[in-house]
Amino acid sequence: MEWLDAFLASGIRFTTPILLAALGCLATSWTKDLNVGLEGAMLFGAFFGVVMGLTTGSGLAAVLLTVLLGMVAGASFGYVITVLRVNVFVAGIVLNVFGSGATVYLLRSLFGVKGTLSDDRIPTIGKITIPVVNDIPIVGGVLSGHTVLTYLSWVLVVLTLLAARHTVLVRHMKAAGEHPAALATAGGNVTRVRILAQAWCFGLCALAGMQLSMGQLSMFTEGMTSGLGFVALAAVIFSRGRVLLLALMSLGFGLSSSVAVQINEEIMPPQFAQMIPYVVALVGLVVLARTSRDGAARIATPAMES
Amino acid sequence: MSEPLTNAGRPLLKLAGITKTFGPITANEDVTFDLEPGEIHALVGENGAGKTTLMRVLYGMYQPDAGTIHVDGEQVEFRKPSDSIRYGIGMVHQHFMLVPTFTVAENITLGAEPGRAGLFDRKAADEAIRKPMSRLGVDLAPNTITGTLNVATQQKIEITKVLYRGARIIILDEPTAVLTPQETDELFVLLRKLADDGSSIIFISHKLREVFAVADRITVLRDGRTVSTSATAATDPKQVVAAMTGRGDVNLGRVHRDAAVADVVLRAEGISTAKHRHDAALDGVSFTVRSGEIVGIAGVEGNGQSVLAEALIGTVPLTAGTVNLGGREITGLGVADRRTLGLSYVPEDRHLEGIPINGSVLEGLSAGRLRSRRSWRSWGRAFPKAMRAWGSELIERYSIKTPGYDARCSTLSGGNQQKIVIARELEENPSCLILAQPTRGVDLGAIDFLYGRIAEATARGCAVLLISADLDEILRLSDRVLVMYRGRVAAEARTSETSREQLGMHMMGAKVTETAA
Repeated sequence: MEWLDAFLASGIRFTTPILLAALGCLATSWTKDLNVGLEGAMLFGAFFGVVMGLTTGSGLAAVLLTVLLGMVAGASFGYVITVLRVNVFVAGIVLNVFGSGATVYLLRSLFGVKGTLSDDRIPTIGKITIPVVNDIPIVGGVLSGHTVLTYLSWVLVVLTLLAARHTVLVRHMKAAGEHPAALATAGGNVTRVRILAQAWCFGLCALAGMQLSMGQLSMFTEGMTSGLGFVALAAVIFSRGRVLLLALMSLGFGLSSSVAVQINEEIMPPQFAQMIPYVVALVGLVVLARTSRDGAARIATPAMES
Repeated sequence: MSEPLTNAGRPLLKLAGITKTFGPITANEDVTFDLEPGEIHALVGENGAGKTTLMRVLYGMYQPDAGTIHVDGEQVEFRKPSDSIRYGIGMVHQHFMLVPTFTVAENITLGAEPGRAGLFDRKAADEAIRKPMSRLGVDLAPNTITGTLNVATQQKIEITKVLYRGARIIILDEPTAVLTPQETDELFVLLRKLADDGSSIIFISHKLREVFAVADRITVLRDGRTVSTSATAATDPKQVVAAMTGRGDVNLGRVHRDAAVADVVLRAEGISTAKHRHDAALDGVSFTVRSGEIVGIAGVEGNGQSVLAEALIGTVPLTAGTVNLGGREITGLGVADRRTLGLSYVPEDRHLEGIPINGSVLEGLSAGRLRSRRSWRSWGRAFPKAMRAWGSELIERYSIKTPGYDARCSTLSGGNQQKIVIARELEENPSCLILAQPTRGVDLGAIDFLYGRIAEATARGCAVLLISADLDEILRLSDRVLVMYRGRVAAEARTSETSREQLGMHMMGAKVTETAA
């Protein structure tokens, strides 16, 4: 059962960044400003987490500052796509390209390093080991020994679920996405909720990035998100705005990423194994498109009538 | 929200000297309008007369360049909708402001949700909407999904929304456009009840029959100015039409035609289609149109009329049935071949399909001719001198108001745009003409003109299929009416032997007829 233990534990580790980014992106899917730039936002998060960590020397300070920075960036991104009317799809793609380019540039100009920045002084995010549970086989690997961010992501699932059911803000986000004029004429502020959704998305992407650079490892590598942002995006499109389904999808993608790493070379060449999560995502999207009642998931920018 | 007695005799709402310009266009100029407590005041005018602009100024969506707004004698300034909502003004928009996937309770309370600390209190919401819903006689579970309701009920939800916000001034923008005659009557009873309860209602419309049925006073706008305000009892439709159009000779009755009905030109037999966009699928529709005859297709929108038009011209494929034109089967032919055989089509969406909205008037006029005249279709110039002269002549003959054939279509009024489409289609001398919503967004003067041209075409032997959501239009023009319901022909009658009420019954489906009878 060794392998199962290792497989599940690593599955949970892979799930965390996907889940965090997907929860962030969910809000933008409610406002129908689906942010496709998760990958870029995560890279920035991973990089600035390390920068803040080196500057402040404290893991907690690094996380808080980077999330704050992320939310400010998200609000600016929201401003660009609402007030300045830049197409959100184009802006998201630009964010991805910009993210991978800018982090490489900054890595070289700030630290004089190519490829990977590894430093003992980079603080790591604390891991929580639950005493008794940790020793139970299988369950221990699933429930114990993960970073604070992993547990935070589980808490966020519950909070998002409650928020979706009970808060006015999420109602307004959904209204802003589906019928912006209805919200505007009822006295709501469409632009504000759309910007808020982006700020939330960027904040969570920053957390997702830091889980990679300071949680699982303590280093920053160029392009270290390696497509996880797109997997998260697939989970969001797949779940069509439903929180629990989103969490399950993220877990599914996390586990399949884990398969990719754990699978024995004798069974399958590693190059093929690494494709597994993306094949799962592709198959999932095809199934969704074929079963969805309205034909396909809609990616659209809200447009105010007249 | 009750009206203090001291206010008796003083208007609840007073707009004075409202002026609003958009660049070079003056939408409102020195407009005056007032509203008494408990009154239904109709605001009428042609398209583009400035009704919508005025109401958007009142609802805080536009800021006026000049003029004042007084509510209860207090001068107010509305910068956004929430400002005017606070003063008890509510608006029921022509296109519903309801989120389809939300529940009724969520939609009604949107923007003013009950609850504390940003939490949505469902129980309180269900409780709070009960009273306004019962005032309107709406009996629905608060957790009903709004998108599943029919249009008339959705409209009541819209009115409930306004009442929930505590409105005592309710603006209704073209509320009857989506309703059957029976639903319209029901709405009027409701509005009268609301007015008797002390609400004041501004009723925006261009349908005079309805205005005279419901309003206490009528204010007419023309070209952005107030032309007249009078008590309904002290005026008549003729006067109001004259005020709206600035002309005294607009015919509102049946259009005079002398056409001899002869052989069958268009014959559809059992045609069916797949579901297309928001419209119902056709399910075994059969009918004929004879030469010189106008056949009207009535029905609540979304019952297959749009698909019917597209299936006949050939942009939507048939799954069953045949279409014959002049004895020749055209079922499998493309649009170009159908047109060559004498079919013409005035599409429903003028901006998308009727004219090149950013192109010139000449481009709009010549679209058919470029194709049908072989000599002009070659690699040479698209618009040689002869074509330009022909365009100028057409502009003259159809009295299209434009600076010249080079003007952009988008700068023309709806009526003049539609004249381009009708001119183009009639110049092809069709044996059969399909008209889909031919006078939507067209002013009364232009409607009169277009009807005249259509009547002339039938006198030449053209068969006309008239698809319209406006029952008055069908009753004024057609010889026979077919009513469509859920993709089928629910009823057929000679226009002279039927009435609005009967047609309305069929528009709501045969079942409703049985239970109502």
